[in-house]
Amino acid sequence: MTIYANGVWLYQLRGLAPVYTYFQIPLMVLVFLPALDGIRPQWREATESLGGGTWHYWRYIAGPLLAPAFFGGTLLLFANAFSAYATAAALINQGSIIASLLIANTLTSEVGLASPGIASALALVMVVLVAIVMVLYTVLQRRTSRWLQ
Amino acid sequence: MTTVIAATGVGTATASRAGVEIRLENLRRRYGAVTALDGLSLTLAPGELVALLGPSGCGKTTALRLLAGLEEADGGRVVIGGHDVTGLPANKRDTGMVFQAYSLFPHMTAWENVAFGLQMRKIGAADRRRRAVETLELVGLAGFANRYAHQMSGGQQQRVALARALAIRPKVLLLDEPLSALDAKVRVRLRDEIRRVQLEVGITTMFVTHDQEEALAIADRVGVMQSGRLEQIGPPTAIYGRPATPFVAEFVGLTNRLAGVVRGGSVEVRGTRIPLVQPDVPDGPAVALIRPEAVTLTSGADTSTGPLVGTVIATAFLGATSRVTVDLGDVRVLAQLATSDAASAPAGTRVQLTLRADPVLIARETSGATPA
Amino acid sequence: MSRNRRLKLQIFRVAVFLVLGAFFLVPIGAMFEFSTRGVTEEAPRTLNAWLTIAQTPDLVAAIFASLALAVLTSLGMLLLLVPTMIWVRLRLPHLSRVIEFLCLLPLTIPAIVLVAGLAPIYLWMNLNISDSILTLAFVYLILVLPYAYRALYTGLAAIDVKTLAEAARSLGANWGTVMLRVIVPNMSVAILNACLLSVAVVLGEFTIANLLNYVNLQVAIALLGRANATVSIAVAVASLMFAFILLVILSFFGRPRTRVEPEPGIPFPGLTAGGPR
Repeated sequence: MTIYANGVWLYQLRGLAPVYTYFQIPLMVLVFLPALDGIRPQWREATESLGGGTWHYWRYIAGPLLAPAFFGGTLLLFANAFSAYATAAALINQGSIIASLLIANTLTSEVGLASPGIASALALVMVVLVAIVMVLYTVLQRRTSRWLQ
Repeated sequence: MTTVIAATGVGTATASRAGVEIRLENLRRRYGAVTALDGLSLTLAPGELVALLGPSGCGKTTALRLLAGLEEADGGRVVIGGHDVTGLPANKRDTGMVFQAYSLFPHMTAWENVAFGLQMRKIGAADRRRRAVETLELVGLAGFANRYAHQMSGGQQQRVALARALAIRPKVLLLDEPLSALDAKVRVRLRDEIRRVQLEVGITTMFVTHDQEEALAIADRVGVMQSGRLEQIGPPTAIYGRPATPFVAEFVGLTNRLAGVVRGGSVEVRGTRIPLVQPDVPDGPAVALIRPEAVTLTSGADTSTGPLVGTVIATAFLGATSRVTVDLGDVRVLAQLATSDAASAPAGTRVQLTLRADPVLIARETSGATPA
Repeated sequence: MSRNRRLKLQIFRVAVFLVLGAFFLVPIGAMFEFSTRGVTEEAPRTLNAWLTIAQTPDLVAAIFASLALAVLTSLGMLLLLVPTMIWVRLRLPHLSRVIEFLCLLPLTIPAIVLVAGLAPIYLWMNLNISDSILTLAFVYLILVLPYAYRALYTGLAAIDVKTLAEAARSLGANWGTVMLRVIVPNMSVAILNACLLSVAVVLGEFTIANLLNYVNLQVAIALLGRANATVSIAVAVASLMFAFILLVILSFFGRPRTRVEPEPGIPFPGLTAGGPR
């Protein structure tokens, strides 16, 4: 098999994406599943008895109901991927091509150029970003929990 | 308009909009090894409200869902207003359905919910809005058009669900235990409200419930079901007063089970001879099913001995009537009396019971009663 | 639902299951395949890499350190959370939102950020108290809080703590008896869940140990990956298996006796706890 026909991409930035899906997919499932559970079979049946078909059900009922949970989950995945470190650290040996690697490298530079101040500043930026995402996530979750208890 | 099948107890339906006849013919449905419907045949006259009553698992909900098109029958036919709809999916059947609870679309306001069916029928936005508001007025929720489900009580939600089902002007209204999730008080009020609206619209209606009081209170006819079959169908008074089978007698209302001996078309229970409903009961020991209303009691006088002499051990006050439990030594008997009569026999009083000679049913099996 | 649609749905389900199953299992299978490779392309299959695990002292030490950390963290978590949560539920219900917020906070703070904050503290601790790897238990206690909190919360929500406590109190039990003999036995499954999740988190932790210069299981795997790839992959497969066994145990005991509705309000990525992110 020649999955590396275009070079060993696994150890580059584009190699991180497929590997990240390994912890992102389960996270999405866990976040999204309660919302799916909240969808009641009566809604489907009500749609049908009112004259709607499968398309109408997804377009007007299930789609709008699940949208907040879906976008909320996506936000959470964004924050999670943004702050992930271990996977990148294991795959990428050189360079600080993503924020978490940069923080780690400025924190504990092997060549004695550690600058904890910069690391802390970067970490703070990360916290602010994650906080914004979490606030948005909470807003969307609140809507979901009102609709889908 | 198809021919009206003569049905007992239809009369109150003063239809403002004529309903249509509904025929279920020999419907059968199995779930794996469980037979949910075992050849159900039932005809609803135009504008009639028929309540299907029975214990859980008797097939009443399956019957409703087959009529709605939410399930497919293994055999039999469903005919609505003369058209065979057996093979049609739910969204082509023109039925309005009210579910047990939580069926409102939570992201839509009350009027948007009601208008949804009209939208599916490609009715213009202005018309939709107008008809939705009209229908909400019909169910007494004129001021609630812009509320969401979570801003309404359970009773109000069910009213919106009713309006949503009616707004599409369906041929049939189907109610699947619509009151079972509500408080007792709301339940009675909404029950009467459903009946009022149904009579006003004149729509043929099938109402499924496990609550006998509900069924007896609002239906033109009540069908009692057991094991996928219709045990008896008739006006509420007939179901209660002249149950056709022991199952109906025991399922609807309270019943005393008293041991007796059948001989020549009547049964002797503790010295009282009572005629039988069923003509073909073989002679021999049997259990008679006697309503508490058919039992009266006298205190004082001659209450020393006798097969129907006993002691009052409890009295349950039910309002205008009271239910008195009398211990006859080997068996306990319930008697339902006017509260003023029950007051003269407090717990501990020796009383003489009298069994009224109304025709009674014999239980199919003899368990559950001590021999006299 | 019509039979036709039910069939379609069933096919859809099986298809999704197969695709996802392959997506997750193929790499693990490939890891196992790689760990049994011989030295050259043509060499026969060998379990040498697996046998070498026990003969690599650094690795064995790291495994034991991680296990010890898992036990310490679980114990600390139980001592901290169980009495607190019961007490808050019984006597201080107005604090429950605060406790929940505090416990779920570590979920939202990236581990890498946590390290940036903790580095000076651990530097000081190394010099003045102890440089043992077991001091990591303090950070790990914080890391497992969200998972343990959710597990214990589910258990507590399934029982009527207040009524149980009032019944026991009215029968003459003191508060200690109420907690240990009445409430804790009724949430034993939740406690087991909380412990297993904590163990999974600790065994999968990489970021903090690595950046604070401790060698736990995951760090050892990563280090070894550069020296002896097949052995490192063998350990990785073994630790995955271990996590899988923990999950099986969890799902076996974890069936709650009363079904508790999942709350969509709070994220609970419990299963991702097992692996480093």
